[in-house]
Amino acid sequence: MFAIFKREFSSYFKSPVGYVAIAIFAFLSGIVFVNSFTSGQVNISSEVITLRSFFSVLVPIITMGLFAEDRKRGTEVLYYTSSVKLYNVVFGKFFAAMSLFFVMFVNVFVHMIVTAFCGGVIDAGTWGSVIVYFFLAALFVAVGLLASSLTDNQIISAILSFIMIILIQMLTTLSNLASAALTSFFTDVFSFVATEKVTSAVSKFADAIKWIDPFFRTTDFRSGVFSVSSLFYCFSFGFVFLFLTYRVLEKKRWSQS
Amino acid sequence: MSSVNKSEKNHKNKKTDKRFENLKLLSVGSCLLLIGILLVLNILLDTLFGDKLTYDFSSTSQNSVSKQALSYIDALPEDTQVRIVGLFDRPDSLSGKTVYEDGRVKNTAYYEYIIPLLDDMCSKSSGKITIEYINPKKYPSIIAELDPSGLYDLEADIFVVKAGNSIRTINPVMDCFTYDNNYISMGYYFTQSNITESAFINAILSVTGDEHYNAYFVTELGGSTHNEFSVVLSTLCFDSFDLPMSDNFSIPDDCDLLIISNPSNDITEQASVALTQYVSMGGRVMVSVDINNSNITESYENLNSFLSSVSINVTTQVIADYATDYQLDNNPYTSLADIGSDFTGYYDGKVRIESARYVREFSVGNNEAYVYPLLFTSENASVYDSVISGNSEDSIFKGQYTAGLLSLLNNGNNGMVMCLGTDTFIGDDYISTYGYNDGNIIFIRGFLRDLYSIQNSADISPKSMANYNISAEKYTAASSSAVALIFVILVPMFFVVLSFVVYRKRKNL
Repeated sequence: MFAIFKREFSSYFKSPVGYVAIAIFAFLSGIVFVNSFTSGQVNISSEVITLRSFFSVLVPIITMGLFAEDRKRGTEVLYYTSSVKLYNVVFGKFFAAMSLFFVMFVNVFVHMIVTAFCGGVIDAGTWGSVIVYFFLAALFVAVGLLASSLTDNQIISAILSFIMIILIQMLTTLSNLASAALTSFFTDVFSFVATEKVTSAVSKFADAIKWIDPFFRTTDFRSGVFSVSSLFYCFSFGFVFLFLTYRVLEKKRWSQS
Repeated sequence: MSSVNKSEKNHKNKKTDKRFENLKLLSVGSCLLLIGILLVLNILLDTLFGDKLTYDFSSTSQNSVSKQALSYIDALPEDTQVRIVGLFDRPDSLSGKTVYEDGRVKNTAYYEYIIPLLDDMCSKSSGKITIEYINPKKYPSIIAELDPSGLYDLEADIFVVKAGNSIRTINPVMDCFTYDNNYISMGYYFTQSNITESAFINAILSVTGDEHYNAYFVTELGGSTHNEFSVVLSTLCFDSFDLPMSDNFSIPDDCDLLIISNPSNDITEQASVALTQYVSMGGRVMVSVDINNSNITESYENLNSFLSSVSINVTTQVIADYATDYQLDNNPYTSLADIGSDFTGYYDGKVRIESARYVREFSVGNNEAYVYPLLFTSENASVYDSVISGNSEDSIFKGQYTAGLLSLLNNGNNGMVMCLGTDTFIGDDYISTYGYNDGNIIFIRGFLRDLYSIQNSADISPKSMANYNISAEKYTAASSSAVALIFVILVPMFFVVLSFVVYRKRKNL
């Protein structure tokens, strides 16, 4: 696994991909930081929360080539012919992408140092946001890995992961829209049912969707409230995508197509 | 021969197909099984250990319900059902701004100090308290559902606390935070502390308790409105009613507290007599009367006639305090006042008075009346008729003056009159500016709670706010420019240049 990790991680810096990703991240985080710095109030957790919005851009850039490139070049045959286990391949690439995220995040750590130096506050909420950021990054990298394993075209892989990430990010918004639409639909069509019952049922449906939303579940971390179950949820959500990636790769061993 | 080979091939294909089907089944099955197991694990973890495995590391435990508040919740009967409804969509982000569907953008940074705390309160209430967020713009029926009689004028963007038919409303901006008194010099409200717990616990105790009092506001005197003070009273189990002034004025039998809020005109002679009788029979009256444009020529003969029965007199003189540490915004007419030593238990600090009328003890009053100073100035204050006459030479001696007195009748009926020379304790203008938990209001609330021995009311310490300000010395135009240059231009440019270098080196490989 370490060999795969080393190869993938170094490949980020042997091509412009890693540098471009870092440059984009540095620019975006820089703008957010400077905005708050010039107002005289620096809350790093707000910066980190804002940076979470850019997963849909950064993750596809980082993960689009992880499997798609190997498939295109035909080097993926090595996964099946060498002694290395397939799950080692998946985890090796996953940790390589996560390491790049960590390198990018050094920018924010520098911002934290500058803030502390300028007499600002780095509190539990800040660390909570950072922890959540990495858990969410892991989740979305896993999503990106799955997208990359499904195609040999990097662009299609990037679009696929972009769509999946956007959908996950918009779960709560979608649930709000769906609940509003469902309420008006049921109220109109089934007017004999009490409005309160419809509202309550739809609200439970919306709550169920929100329960799935990793962003919604980890909101309180920015206030310094750490919930182990929310982190476990992010971990398991990501693990499912890694397992799916493993299954997609393994399919080649027995698939007739 | 060939037919034999064909059948062997078919047999092999069938075998392969079967293996393919089995492996496919295994693959899909294992994925579904894993998802199922993790889903169950997450649900179990969330429902069984979700709260136990949640830790509040915020400074001052901003987002956790305090032991103090929890003790009040625990003391509620087991079958208590309190419903808290936020009349808005639960904000998706607590980061500071909410964008509404109609495009409005609202600063909702305060929610981050309310919503996690309420979540925690509900989860630790053993099912006694539930919280939900229902936007009345999407579900208009919620208003009628919560308040069928339409008594409370419920509107969007507030919290409603309901138990049985009893309702209290909480405004997230005004009721959940305290603000700095020096807002005039600062130019904006500076949030001092989070009192969400106090607001909600008091509302919960109020709606679940059986204590009940009636407060009557004397109206038709052209004075201040009293909507805000009615809300304050509602947290103390008071229902408020209007009592219009008239020539045949009489005080209802169920009146527990009568309030005359900054009248522009004097009360009638009949009212003066009725009030005197009411207090001598054990009634309780609050009077506030400052000096403002609408009452500047009013000497309140009838009101003073009543007040003289409890040895109090309101003058036509305005207080000016020249002690700089008492002044707000360098204005002697807007200053702080000390609370009388008998009453500092209600609020440990100075309170704000504006255009305060000098209220003095009436020397030829009632021997049975014991008068206590409630509010007094620094020793460097003066009183003037000058605001009325426009002549600053009318000043009297510098000294300490009272802006509020309390008179207790020792005639066996324990009547009480509180007379305030300022409208900063009752008036809508003041309370709507400073909120229900400003020092003045905390004082008056503590006083009334004690006076009526109200049990269903809680004193919960406020939580100080997180302060993310950076040091003023480090926060300069030069440092801001340097930070912008480094983090927005130099660092990203460095990596862009590196990517070009790598690209040029590698493009021929």
